[in-house]
Amino acid sequence: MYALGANGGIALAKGVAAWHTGSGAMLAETVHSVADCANQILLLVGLKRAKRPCSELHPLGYGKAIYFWSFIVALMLFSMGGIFSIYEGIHKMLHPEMPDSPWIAVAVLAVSIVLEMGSLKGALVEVRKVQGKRSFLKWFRTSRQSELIVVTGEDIAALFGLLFALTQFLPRSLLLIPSLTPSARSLSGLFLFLLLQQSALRSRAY
Amino acid sequence: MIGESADPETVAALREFLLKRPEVGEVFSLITLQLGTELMVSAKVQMKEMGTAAELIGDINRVEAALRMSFSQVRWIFFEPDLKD
Repeated sequence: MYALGANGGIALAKGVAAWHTGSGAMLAETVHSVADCANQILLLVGLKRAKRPCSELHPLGYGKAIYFWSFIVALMLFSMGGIFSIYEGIHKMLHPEMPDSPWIAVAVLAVSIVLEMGSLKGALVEVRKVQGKRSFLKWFRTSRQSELIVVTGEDIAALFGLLFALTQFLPRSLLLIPSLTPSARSLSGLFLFLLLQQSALRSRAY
Repeated sequence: MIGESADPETVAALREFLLKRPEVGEVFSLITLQLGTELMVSAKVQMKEMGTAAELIGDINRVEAALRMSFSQVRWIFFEPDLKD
């Protein structure tokens, strides 16, 4: 729920910026965040379907359904989010372009970072409730809560991606040197790719 | 995660809980299946007192009720009293 709110906010910020600047890249980012919202809705669907009461055909209930939906979301995140980011990064490296209004982009990044941190904090509060004495990594490996693993993974990856983008974007805007951000995008894409691959593997249970 | 047991800590806690019950002698097997937020537990157990069938059933029902009280995620329990594994 936190994650849905945060991604909704980010999508809105990017949408406003895209409408304001008419930038194609910002429009693509908006689509990206809308897709994240769709993923969160898919997870909520999964949680709801897992709660259906037992029936004669499903004598032990539908609890396992959440593993299927978590896996679908993890796959979508890491294919659409990860691979698309890498593709876009390489594309921009080959065809560098200058942003028309860098400060709007920086503002969007800042808003996104704040919202994504809120979302991550919400997820971590949930993790802390169930983690007990285990370390975070051990929880990640031994937990049976696939939906929480996927959401936490996505939040961490997205936050790192945004921070990468900001650290590369700020000097570029100040010095007006193009071609640095694309590598950041590829890097964050690679990171997202690896992290969500872990989540996907985990919900499929090796 | 499909087909996985409960996490190792929970399995250990379940086994310890059963062994601490006055009705239970030995735990021959303990199978758990995580079904999302809910847990299925199947146990093959040697009971300490082997009185009449009604007494045995009463003991088993007490263990099951206590288990459900202590582990809220346990939804299904299949409990088999036995003499050897």
